[in-house]
Amino acid sequence: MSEDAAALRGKFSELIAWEQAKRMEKVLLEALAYAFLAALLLLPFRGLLARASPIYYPAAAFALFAAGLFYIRRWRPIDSLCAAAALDRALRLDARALTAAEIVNKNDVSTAERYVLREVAERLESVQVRTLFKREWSWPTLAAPALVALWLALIWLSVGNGLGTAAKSASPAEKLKDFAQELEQKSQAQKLAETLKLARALKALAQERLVEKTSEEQFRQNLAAMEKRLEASLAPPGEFDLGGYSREELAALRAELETAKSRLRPAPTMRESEFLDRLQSLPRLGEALKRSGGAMENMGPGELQTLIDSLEQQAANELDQRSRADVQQFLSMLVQGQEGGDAPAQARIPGRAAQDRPADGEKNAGKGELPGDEPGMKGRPAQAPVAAPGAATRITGAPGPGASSGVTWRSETKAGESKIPEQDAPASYRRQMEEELAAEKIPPALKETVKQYFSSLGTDEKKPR
Amino acid sequence: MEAPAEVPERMARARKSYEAVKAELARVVVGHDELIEHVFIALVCGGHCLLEGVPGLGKTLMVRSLSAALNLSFSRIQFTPDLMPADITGTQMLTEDAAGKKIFDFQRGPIFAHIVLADEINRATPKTQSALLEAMQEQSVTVAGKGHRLESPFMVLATQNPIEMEGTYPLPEAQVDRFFFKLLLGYPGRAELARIADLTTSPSPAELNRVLDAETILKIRGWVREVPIAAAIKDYAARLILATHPHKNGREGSAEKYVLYGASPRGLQSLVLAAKARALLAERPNVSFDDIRAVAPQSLRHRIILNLEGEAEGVTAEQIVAEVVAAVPEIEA
Repeated sequence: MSEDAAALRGKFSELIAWEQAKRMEKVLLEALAYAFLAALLLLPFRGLLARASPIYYPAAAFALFAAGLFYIRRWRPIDSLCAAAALDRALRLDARALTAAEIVNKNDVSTAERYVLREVAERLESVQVRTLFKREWSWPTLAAPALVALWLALIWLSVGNGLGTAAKSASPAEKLKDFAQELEQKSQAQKLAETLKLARALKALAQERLVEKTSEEQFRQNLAAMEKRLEASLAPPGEFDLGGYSREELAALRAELETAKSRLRPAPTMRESEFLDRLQSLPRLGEALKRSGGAMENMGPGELQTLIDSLEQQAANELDQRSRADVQQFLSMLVQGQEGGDAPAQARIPGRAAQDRPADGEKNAGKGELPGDEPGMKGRPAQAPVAAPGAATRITGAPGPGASSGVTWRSETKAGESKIPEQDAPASYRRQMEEELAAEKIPPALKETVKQYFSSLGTDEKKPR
Repeated sequence: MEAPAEVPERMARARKSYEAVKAELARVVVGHDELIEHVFIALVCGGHCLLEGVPGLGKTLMVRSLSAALNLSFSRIQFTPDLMPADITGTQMLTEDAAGKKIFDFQRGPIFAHIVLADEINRATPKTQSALLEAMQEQSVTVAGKGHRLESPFMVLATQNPIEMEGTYPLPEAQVDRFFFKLLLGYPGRAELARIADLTTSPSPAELNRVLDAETILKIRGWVREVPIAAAIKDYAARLILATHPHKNGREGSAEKYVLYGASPRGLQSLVLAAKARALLAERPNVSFDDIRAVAPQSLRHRIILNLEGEAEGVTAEQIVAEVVAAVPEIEA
C-alpha cells in the first residue's frame, strides 16, 4: 500500500468514526426527546396504564425509541459513501474523495488512480474532520433539554397525581420503610404508644431487608409472622363502646377530655354549677358519658376525674387499636404481594383521613375512612342524606366487599349567634388545633409553636376574670 | 508504469489539443462552442454524432471545418432516396489483372475515411441507412463476404433536418442508438449573425490549419479510458438510465407516463465515457457527478422513445432527461 493510500485510509477511518459518533449522539438525544415527549403525552392516560408507574414512562419510551432509531439509522456502507461525498462537497473536490475512498481498497492501482490518491491526500492532510463537520442539531435534539426540564418540573411539583407514590412502590421493603416512618411520626404526634412501638419494629424489619439484605422470602415470612402477632394482639372493646366513633371524632374526644381535665383542677373562685356548665359545653364528652350510662350532674369531681381518665385511656387505646388494624391490613397486602400503586391508598396511615378528604362533591374511589366508606346495615336501602345547616352529615355505604366511593357533603352555613360561649372558644380552637396537627396541615417546624400558643391560651383561661 | 506526475501532463496535452481545435474552428464557425466541445468529446471517445438542426445553421460547415482542422481524411456523402448501400461501402468491380485474367476488385466507397459526413442522413432509404450500421459499430464493412477494416480514428457525423419531413425516412432505432451523441444546433444570436456575415462575405475565406493528428487523437482516446470513476458515480449513471424506463424506475414521473422505451445500455456506455472525456478535458483526474449530468442530454435524448401520448402532448426527450436528472439522487442505497 502506498504512503498516500495509507494516509487516506487513516483519514477516511477518522471521518467515518466521527460521523458514527455524531450519529449515535444524535440518535440518543432524539430518542431522549421523543421519550420525554411521549411520556408527557401519556401522562393524561396513565389511568389506562395502571400497572406502570409514570416515573418509568421516559425510561421505557427511551428504550423503545433508541432501539428503533438505532436500527433505522444503523451505519451502512452507503453512509460511508455519503461521508466521502460530504467531504467532496465541503472541500470542492469534485468527487475525488469518493473516488479515492474506493481506490484505497484496491490492490491493483493505475497511474491515474495513484494521481487521484496523491491529490486527495495532499488536500486532506491538514483537514480536521471534527472542525469541518461540526455537530448539527435537529429540532428534537434542541427540544430534548426543555422536555426533560418540563418532565422534572412536573415530577417536582407532583402535577402528575400519584407520580411520587407510584415511585415508592418499587419494592415492598422500601414501601414498608416509608410506611413505618410515616406511622412513627403520626403515632408520636398522637401519643399512641403501641403504634409507635409497632412502627419502630416495622422500620427495623424494613432496614433488615434493605441494609442487611435478607432474602425476599425471609422478609415476607417476617412480615407474615408480624401480621399474625398483630392480629392476635388486637384487644376486645373496653368499658366504653367507642367503636361507633370515627377517627376524627376520637381525636376530638381526646381533645375535649384534655380540656375537661384542665377544668377539673382546683379553681377556688369557680362555683360547681359554673364548672358543670363548662363541662357540658363539651358535646362529645357529654355524649360519651351518656353512652356509658352516667350523667355528669350525678357525679362528684373525684368520680368525674376517674371517669374522664378512664375514657381518655380508652380513646387512646381505641385509636391505637385502629392504627394497628390499619397496619395489619397493610402488612396483609404486602404479604399477599399487592404492591401496586393503590396499596398506600387502601392502607392509610392513621390520622391521614382528613388530609385525604376530597373537596366538596368530589368522588373518591377506594376504601378509607371517609363518610360513606363504612359499611351500612344490611337490607337497609341507601337514602340520600339530609343536609342540615351547621351539622355534619354522615353517609353510610352499601355493605359487602369491594371498592366503595364517597361524597363529602357540607351544608350551607346559617346566620345567627354563636352557640359556643366565649370562655369555651379556646378549648374549641385547641381541639381544632389538635385535629389540624394530627392531619398534618400544620408544617412540622411550626407544630411546637402552635402548641405553645394554645398552651398559653389555656394558662390565660385559668386566670380570674 | 507511468509515474503519477505524468497524469497532469497528459491532461494538459488533451486540454491543449481541444483548445487548439476549438480556436481553429472559431475562425470559420461562429458560436456553437458547446457543440464543438461535444463533437470533440465524441471524437476522443470513438463515437459518432447525429447533428440536428434547421437548414443554414452551419452543420455541414462545422463538420467540414473540423476535418480541415484535423490532419485526417474526410469524405462527404449526400444522402438521397436513390442512394444505394454500395455507394457508401464500395463495390466489387470486374477488372483484369496483369495476366489478363478477369478478377473482382473491391473499389472502396466514401466510408473509407477518418471523418465521414453523412449529410441529410434521413433522406436515404432505411436499407441504405443500414449500410452504416456495421461501419459505425464494428469500424469495418463486409462486401461480398469479405470484411474490410476502416480507418482509425473513424467518425461519422450525420446531419438531419427536423423539418421538411416529407420524403424522409426516420432513422431506425438501431441506427440511432449507434450514435454516441445527438447534438442540437440552436439558432445564432444577433452578434453571432453579424459575425457570420463578416466571415462569409469577406474577400478571402479563412484557411484552416491542421492542428491535431490521428496519433494524438488515439492517444487521447487511451487516456480517456484511464480516467478513474467511482463505483458510486457509475451507479448514479446506471440509475439515470433506469429512470428513463417506464415501470423500472420506481418513480412517478414523465418517464412513467410518456416513454415507450428508455435508454439502452449503449446509453450508459456513452454517458460514462463522455463523462470521462469531459473530466480529462477539464484537467480533472476523475469523473464527477457533474460530468455525468453535463453529458446526459446529449447521450440520452436520442435513445428515449416516446409513446403516442407523449408525442401527442408535445413532450420532448430533453424534458424527460431533465426531469430524470433532477429526480435521481447522487447516492442511493
